[in-house]
Amino acid sequence: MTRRAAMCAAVLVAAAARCGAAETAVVKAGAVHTVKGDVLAPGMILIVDGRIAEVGKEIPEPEGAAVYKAEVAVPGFIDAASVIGVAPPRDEESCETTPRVRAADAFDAAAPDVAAARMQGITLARIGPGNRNVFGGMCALVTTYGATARDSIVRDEAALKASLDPEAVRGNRSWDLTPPRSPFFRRPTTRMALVQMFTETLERAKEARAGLRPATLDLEAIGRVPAGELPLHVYTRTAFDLRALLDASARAGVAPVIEGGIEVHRELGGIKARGLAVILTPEAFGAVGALSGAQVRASLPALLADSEVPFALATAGFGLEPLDLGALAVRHGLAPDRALRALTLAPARILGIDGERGSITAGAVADIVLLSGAPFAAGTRVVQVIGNGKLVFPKGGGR
Amino acid sequence: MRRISVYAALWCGVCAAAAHGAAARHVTAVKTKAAIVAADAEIPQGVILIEEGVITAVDAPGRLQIPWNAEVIDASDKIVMPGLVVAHTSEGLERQNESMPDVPWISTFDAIDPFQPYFRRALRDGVAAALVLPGNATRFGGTGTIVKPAGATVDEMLIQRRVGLKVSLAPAGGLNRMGHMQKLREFLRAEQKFLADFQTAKKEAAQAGRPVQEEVPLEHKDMEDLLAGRLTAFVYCQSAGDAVRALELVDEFKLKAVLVLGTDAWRAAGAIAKAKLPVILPPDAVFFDEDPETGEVVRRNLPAIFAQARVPFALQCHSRSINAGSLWQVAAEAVRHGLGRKEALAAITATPAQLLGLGQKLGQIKPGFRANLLFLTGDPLDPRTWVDRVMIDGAFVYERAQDKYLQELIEGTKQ
Amino acid sequence: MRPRNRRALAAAAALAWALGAAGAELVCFEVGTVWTGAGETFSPGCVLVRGGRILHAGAPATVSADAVRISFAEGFLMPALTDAHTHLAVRDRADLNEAAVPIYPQFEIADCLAAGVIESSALYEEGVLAAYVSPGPRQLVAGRGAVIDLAAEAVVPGLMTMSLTGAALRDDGEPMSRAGLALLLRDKGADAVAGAPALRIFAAEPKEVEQALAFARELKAKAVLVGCRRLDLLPGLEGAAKAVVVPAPVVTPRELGRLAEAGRKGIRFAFASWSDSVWEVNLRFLAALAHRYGLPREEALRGLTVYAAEACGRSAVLAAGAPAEFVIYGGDPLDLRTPLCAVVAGGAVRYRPEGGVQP
Repeated sequence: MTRRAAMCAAVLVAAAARCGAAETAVVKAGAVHTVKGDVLAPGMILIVDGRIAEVGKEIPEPEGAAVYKAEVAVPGFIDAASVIGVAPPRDEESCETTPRVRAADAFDAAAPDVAAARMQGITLARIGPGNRNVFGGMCALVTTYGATARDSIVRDEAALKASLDPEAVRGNRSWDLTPPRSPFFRRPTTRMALVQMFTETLERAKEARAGLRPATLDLEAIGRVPAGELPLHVYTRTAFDLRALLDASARAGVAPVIEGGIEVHRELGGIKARGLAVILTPEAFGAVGALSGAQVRASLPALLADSEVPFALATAGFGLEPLDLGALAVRHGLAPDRALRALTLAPARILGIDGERGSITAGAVADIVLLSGAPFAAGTRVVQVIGNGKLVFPKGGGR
Repeated sequence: MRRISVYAALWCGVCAAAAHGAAARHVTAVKTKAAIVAADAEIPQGVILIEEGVITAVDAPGRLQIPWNAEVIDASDKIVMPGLVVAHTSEGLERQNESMPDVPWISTFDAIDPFQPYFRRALRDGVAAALVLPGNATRFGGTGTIVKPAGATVDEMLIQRRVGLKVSLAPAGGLNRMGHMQKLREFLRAEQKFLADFQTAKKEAAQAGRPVQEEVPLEHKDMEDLLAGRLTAFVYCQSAGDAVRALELVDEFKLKAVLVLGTDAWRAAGAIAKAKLPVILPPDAVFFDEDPETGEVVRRNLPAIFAQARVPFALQCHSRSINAGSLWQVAAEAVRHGLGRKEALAAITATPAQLLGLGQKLGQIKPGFRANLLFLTGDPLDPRTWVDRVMIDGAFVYERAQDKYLQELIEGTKQ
Repeated sequence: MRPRNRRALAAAAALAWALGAAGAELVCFEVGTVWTGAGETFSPGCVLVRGGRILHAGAPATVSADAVRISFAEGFLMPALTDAHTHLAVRDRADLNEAAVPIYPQFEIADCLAAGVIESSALYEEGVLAAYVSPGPRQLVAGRGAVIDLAAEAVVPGLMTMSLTGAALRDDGEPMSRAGLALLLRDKGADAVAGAPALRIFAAEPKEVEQALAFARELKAKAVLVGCRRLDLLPGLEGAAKAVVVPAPVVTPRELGRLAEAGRKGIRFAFASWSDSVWEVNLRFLAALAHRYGLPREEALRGLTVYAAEACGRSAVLAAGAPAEFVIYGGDPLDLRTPLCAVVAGGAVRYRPEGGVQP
């Protein structure tokens, strides 16, 4: 207790020294789900200058601090596959490999879907290209509460996006029925070519990095992946695509993050053996309807949890909110605390920011969602959202 | 010898009569953890007595006597509520719309496909009765049919024919709203005129002693019932302006009507409340909207808006698959964002039953109502609750333990 | 001696010298108010012109008897108006962009202008002496615009134009997405417009405005932002106060309120008609509306003159040495009932409503 008080005081002093008056806030909740540690019931969170200074059952309230009362406090939700703020078309389809195209350049913080995401409790989102290019470009991490795009971008180049979805080749034509200068003329038109293009490009990038072939800007960008400098997120649609991905990535010495997660249960052994992580989207567990050519399996979240495969639940632009996704996963057997983890700490780990976000622990950024009841219970809704220590929803809302 | 045989015959007769009597009075008793008899009434450990597919009694265990020969269904770990009622759907048809605009004489009875996945999903979600009406792309689309989503033929599924006539105010066939409304009124007036002329001709024939045609021709029967208020118009309104025009139409032609609303029509809630008409809300009833004046993003909760305006409303859903868009999810989402629990449950049971004209038969657990019961593993609005069994007209038509398709979707036996 | 008096004395001295060294005729415009655009208003005021240039614009000055005197007792004299963005004299919409290629800096819209056929009296009636004709927003680098300079009766080159809006996206080639457009900008944008001192950039959404300002900052070029929406978000953007903004046409109360608020916070707006017909040039109306919704008077008047000229790469302030191009209104120009009295170009009255265009 003394150590905690000392730490708290130290943080306050440091903050006060930094700027004349530290901006402090206190959250008092019937239950605080820290996710990294235990659930504190009741619990309090002390926020200083946008960071969580202390978490505990009883914390002395500093004078002048904003006070937030809630039933339940959870970390801000992290959407690991989001489409907010970027108007379609999201794919630069003029060329099949466009690794240097950056979603951060197209992110509009004033777009209405960013406000909607904030109201759903999402405080951080991974935005990126769509699934129609083999190498689509760079994903970025953005907050949902920045005033401008510059303020919102946490990381410009968080991961390289690739897709083995046969959708990437649908619509291409190999015959000259289209004008020869159309970009859809020379692209892969079959699944075989798609996989081959993926594998070959990775190989070329490695060679360029090793100096065995002249490096182009694009190859340099892709070469950061096998060198371990940049994560690779790959969208797959069927178990076949998954198998192809596992083979190709093993050959290239790359550990991709599997996006979509459709039919992962059919390659679970391989995924577990290589320690890969999954960003599970609503399509994969039947939350948006039957899929043609792929098997939907509602118990995927529970299966992944039982198999100890790290996974995140993401919205992927399908209109379901994080609380809905979690509730569906719980309905099909996932434990509620695991569901909460899949919306907070697990995506933070997958995105490499778990030191800063995804949990309510001292030192983390103060992104906190205040709920009206236990997460994923009937009737629970998002009441308030705190972003970087300030109230970002509802605007002008009370203490 | 003869005395013994007479006594034997008499004794056989008495036994036979007793046995026959007992077999005719087959009673089922359902023991529950809680019986939600109406949206605002729940009986803890309620017991429900059913005879020949009809509920005869429901009360707390101490206040009810279970007949000694009743078949007892022990559902004391389940919560039982009335089967859900869907007041409007166009799924379950081979094609939702006829290509001609004015076809009031056709009926969905002739196009219902019992093997459409909609019925299987509806049953799994606990729907016990659904009114299948034509779609929104015709003007006078035809009459509807109330079916239960269980049965291999339409006759097996049938609850009632010729319920409701679908009218759509959403322009179709290349017309804009002005042309669409004009054609609609033209058709109504032409029918009025035809019926008036028919009555006059009938009277004249009767006076002149000529043979009299008693009934109107078949293709005018539905419009006659509509204009006489015997058939309810289910009027689809895409926008708020359509809703206002619908109210004017209803007033002008003195129709009995229910408004089927699209997502934009909620702004007319006040006008609809004044006209005292009930509504059926669209499937996406809770959504994010951008206010056109301020640019602010707000969450609209249509059920809550209509509950506050005191307009009776029923909910729709678009059930895409196991986890997508069930009536439960729509109701739960509305409650989560401000709708009262009572209103939510009423909107999927008693209110739609009333809109179908079966308010005394469906949607509640009371004596005289049909024995349509859902056996739930928990509270109806809890996202973890499953529909365990569905009883329609006193017989079980769905059991989750035997739903192989559900097992496949959840766990996927294919490897 | 007070600074103001010192200045007047210096001007009078210069005047005397100029008069002494004179050759051409001296014209003296005596008016009720002179609004120079440089931050000073003189009531009454006087502008002295010789040889097509302004000798003095400010407080009334005494001149010799043989100077030509033109008096408007209630007149409001201000720099001539500039229309900051039009598509005048372009015969065909397709001529506005060489849309087949995303980067085409060699494009000069002056090459396709039929400026001679403009009914200039319509522009004079509005007090306009310069109208900027811009390429369209359908290319990342669209080439140079042109200024129809009515005073000089010529077409002069304008500024290099770029577009970061959705209109620059194509469906049959690069760039097809916004991120692709941004990549093209990063890879090839700087080289294509290297050396341009000022850039006119089409940027509508806040994101595009941010990108435009960052790009101009990187190239150390002045930024003119064309077609901005969400004017309320402009004050929060870095570098926006140094740019000139030609907003998308605003007539709704909400947008006018936003424009006024942003104007009060330091954003410099230039008014533009966005029209392709001289009969639809309505700058005074736009300025009056903005003023009515809260834009300060000075900012509204500057928006018609100083900022609008800056948006074309020119200057419009009335000061000694500047070309004698100004207009005289019968009263407050922001009152729409005020009539036009005269348009002066090249040092002489070019247009009067009663007398028409003077050669």
